[in-house]
Amino acid sequence: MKKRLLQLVIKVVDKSIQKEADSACLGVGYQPPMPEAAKKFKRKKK
Amino acid sequence: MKNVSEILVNRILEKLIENDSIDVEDVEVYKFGVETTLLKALHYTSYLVIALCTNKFFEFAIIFTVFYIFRRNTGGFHAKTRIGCYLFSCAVIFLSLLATEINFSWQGAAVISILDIIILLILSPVKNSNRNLDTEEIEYFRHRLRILSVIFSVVYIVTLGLRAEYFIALYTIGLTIDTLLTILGKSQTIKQS
Repeated sequence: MKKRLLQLVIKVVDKSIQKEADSACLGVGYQPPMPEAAKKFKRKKK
Repeated sequence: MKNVSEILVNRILEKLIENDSIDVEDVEVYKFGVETTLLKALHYTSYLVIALCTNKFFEFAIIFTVFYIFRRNTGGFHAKTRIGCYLFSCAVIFLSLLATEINFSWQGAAVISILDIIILLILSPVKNSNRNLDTEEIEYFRHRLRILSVIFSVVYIVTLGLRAEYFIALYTIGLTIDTLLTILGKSQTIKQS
């Protein structure tokens, strides 16, 4: 159960990272500093 | 708010590392991912509450969709603190819903939208101190904005043809919010440099 929940969290967060790497800025709210690795992360996931 | 957010983000990261769900080398990226996910959840929930309280859920859905699709490609203003950005965003959403009470003529709305598109094509994408854009990305977002502007114009004209003038007003409000935030973001960048 806990493992499934964590897998779901990872899935949602992965999507969020990929979406932000593909956006000029965070659509809503405060823009946290985006690490350069987030761009590479997107490429790795492709 | 920063401390609360940091504590929560760190707790989630600890759990993910403990359970071997992420690699240690990816912690920085996941920190960013978890924070953005939590911020978005908080903002979307608050916007929905504002929309439901003002009884304008339908208007919110249209305005926010137009705004968000453009914002992803234009960048723009962000307050320097989490709480500042939260309050500012909620105020913008509330004011945009209030603006739906104004009676726009479709001709006036069309002129405003054309000006919005011209301004966005000139100024975008806007860099942010926390979101650096390299040359490749700038070209990519510009290209996507050009395509988006064409699609938006076609939808706008079709809606006009259907005489759905209320929709035209909503599209215009969403686009104008993005344009104003892009102008503010550009002036913020100029001040910082």
